[in-house]
Amino acid sequence: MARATFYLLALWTAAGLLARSSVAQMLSLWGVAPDLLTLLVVFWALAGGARAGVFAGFVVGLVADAEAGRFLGLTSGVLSAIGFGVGSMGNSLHRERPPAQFVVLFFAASITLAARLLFATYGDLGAWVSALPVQVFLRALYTAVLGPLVYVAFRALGAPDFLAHGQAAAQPRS
Amino acid sequence: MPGAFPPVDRQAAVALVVVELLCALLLLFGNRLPLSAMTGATAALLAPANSTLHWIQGVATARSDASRLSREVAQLRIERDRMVDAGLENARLRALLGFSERGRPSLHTFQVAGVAGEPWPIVYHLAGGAGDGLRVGQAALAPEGLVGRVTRVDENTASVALLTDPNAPVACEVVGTGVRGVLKFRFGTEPGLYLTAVPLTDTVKVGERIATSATSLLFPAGIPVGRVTQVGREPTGLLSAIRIEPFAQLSRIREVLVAVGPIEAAWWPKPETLAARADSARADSVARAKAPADTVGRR
Repeated sequence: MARATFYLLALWTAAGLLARSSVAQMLSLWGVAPDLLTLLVVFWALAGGARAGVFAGFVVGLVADAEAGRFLGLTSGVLSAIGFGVGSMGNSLHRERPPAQFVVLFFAASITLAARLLFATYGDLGAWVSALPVQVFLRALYTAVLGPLVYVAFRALGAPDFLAHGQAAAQPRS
Repeated sequence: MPGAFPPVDRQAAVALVVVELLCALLLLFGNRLPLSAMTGATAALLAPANSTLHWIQGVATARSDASRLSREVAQLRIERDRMVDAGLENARLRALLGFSERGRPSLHTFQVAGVAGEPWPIVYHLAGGAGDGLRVGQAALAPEGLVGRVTRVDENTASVALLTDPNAPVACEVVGTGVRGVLKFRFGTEPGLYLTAVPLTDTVKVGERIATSATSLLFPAGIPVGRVTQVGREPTGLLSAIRIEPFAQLSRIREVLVAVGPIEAAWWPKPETLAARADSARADSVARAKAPADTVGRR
């Protein structure tokens, strides 16, 4: 990964963690807040590949778990897996295109939120299923819309295209 | 079927396996780690930047806040005059009935440095710690009502478990009727706050207010908590299912009030003090009424 891309993503992560802690609720529309953690990890994985995705997922998730003070290891485990999956697919995708980002973000956020909700409901499957539409799918949809918008805004402001093919160093070694 | 899946980075796959094992171990044995210290460290790490963001938000909303507060001050002045009279009456009646006086908590303001919890906020991290008088167990309030209680304190930061934390129930009662119950956040078909353990024989109506109960071991009595929005029946058929909407907007609070320090001896001041205050308040009202129109309500 190019050094400039790394710094940009580090800045992205720091800003995202702060935003999640402070202004995530301000971003909520009709009570639906975006999943900024998945947003961070997916872009890390798309830009840096599977290894970067695993690492980013673990670190970001661990900070979130420590901040919440419960289920330490849950978010980090889920996000690491998401980071690996997205990072592995990254080179096969038109990842610089917002529609591709939308699809990846929607599925990644759905998986992350569903797993976290299952633990938040202490395994009550009835409660989990009833909360899925709003707490998982609507949030995932919002996240999937917000991610490409942020990316397009970054690009419009003149930021380098860290998702352009050829930037990442995640080619599998034989 | 070669080519159907993207090639896998073997080092990344090994890293994933290691990380997942580590996460599983953390999930299983994480409660043996000093989790509160980790929470404190995370909160302290994020606190300076969060404070800056809060300051920027505060500046951005200062104008609308100022006009809203001016309106509230005007309403509160009227309310204060009424309360002073009510206080006098209350003190006189308490003296007649021989009731003991309740303690008054001393409230201090603390900034919310961070919010944690998914999908609902369940923890606030406060920009204040033991050095500022915070202790585990203290009640955290907003001007509208109860927010939660302090569950972790270190030297510079503290955490508050909110009403939405399923592990932080609150003993409450319905204002006026005195029906008692336990306020809990519950999942189920309609996740939210519910007043539980209320028998069907106790009548609770939509719109009634609930406050902390005198039987609460953790909170002072009489702190407003919320309003009844729905009354139904538990599946067991023995208890009421009473949904509560909290007064405090837990997702939008920037500062909380915490009852720190020793509880003052008297909830109401002595009658003579109240009488003096009433006179002073009336004199203020008269003075304001006599003042030229352009000085009244000026910001």
